[in-house]
Amino acid sequence: MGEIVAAILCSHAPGIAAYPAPAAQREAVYRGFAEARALLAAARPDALVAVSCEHFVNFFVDNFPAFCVGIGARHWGPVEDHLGIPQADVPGLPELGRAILETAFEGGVEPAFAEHLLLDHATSLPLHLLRPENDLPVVPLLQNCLVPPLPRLPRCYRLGQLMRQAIAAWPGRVALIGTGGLSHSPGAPEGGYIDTAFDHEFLRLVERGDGEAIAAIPDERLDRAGFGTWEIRQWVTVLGALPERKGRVLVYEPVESWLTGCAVAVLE
Amino acid sequence: MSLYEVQRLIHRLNIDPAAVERFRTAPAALLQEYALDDAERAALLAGDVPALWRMGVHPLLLLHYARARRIPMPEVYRQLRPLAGERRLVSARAATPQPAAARGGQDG
Repeated sequence: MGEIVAAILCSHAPGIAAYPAPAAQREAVYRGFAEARALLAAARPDALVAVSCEHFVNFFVDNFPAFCVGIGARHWGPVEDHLGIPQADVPGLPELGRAILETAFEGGVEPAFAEHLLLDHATSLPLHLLRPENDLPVVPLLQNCLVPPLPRLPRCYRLGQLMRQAIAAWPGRVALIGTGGLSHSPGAPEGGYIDTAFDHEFLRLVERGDGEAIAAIPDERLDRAGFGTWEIRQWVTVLGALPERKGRVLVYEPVESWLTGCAVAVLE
Repeated sequence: MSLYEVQRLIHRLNIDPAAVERFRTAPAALLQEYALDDAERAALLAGDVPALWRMGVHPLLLLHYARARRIPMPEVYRQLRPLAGERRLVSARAATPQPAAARGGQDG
């Protein structure tokens, strides 16, 4: 039956693709992504579930789901044309998307669903760096990390548990990718501020595989690290799917010109 | 006085290239399609990033606005930096309610 064969957690700041940075930092981040890409290839997945977040592309404040599962046969992205990432159709996997949806509803979490999602840097950038071949079907799960009220961290953890159940009943090898964070505040006066203390503390918990401790981080602590830090929800969801695994941090660099504490980690 | 209308316009600039073109060539006509007050209209026409921030515009929408208005990113942050601390972005309602003004707009 279905198996989660790899799990990668990473930042998705558009700067990673599009803006200059000190060479040593840039190379370190790209080495981290390259290592994760090799691990992903070696795991021979049949499909990817990409847990990422919405940035006013599919949803606006007139209709903003806490979670949305992409159940279409195709998605398209990235919507941004300035990232240097090819804009293309990305194959979907309706059966797995619907299985995740149904299992979530059975378990008491009701995501929205969409037959056609637009992808932005949050999904397209990690996919481009981790699987540039664009040859695997992808089920996107978008989480609201943008406009409060946000789904609470334990709710994300619970959705991850349910996602695992759905994958266990699906006949294939699935890799999980969770994207977002760490500390950043794009478009705010605090835009250049990176809370490295938070990031290090957070990554220590990831290394311990302690998703429950992460899900218990007070909202106020995330707020202090910058509103972009709300995106660690994607890490929480993936950790919820794999509570027995520990994290290995491949890279962490607070890159000022990318305005983001950038990390790549794997759960193993 | 409608943060929603301001943000609705900016959101459209992010998803509708024809609207961006109109915003750059005949902005007043485009803005007429939205129920904006004078201060909102003036800020949107003038590229007044600090005023939009103070109104409670979401930071990502502010970046979308700056791109449509062709305000370079370093300039956006140069204008924003002095406003640090004025408006807190909070992910959940505080246990002790704060005055609405201290919470900012819809992200409060």
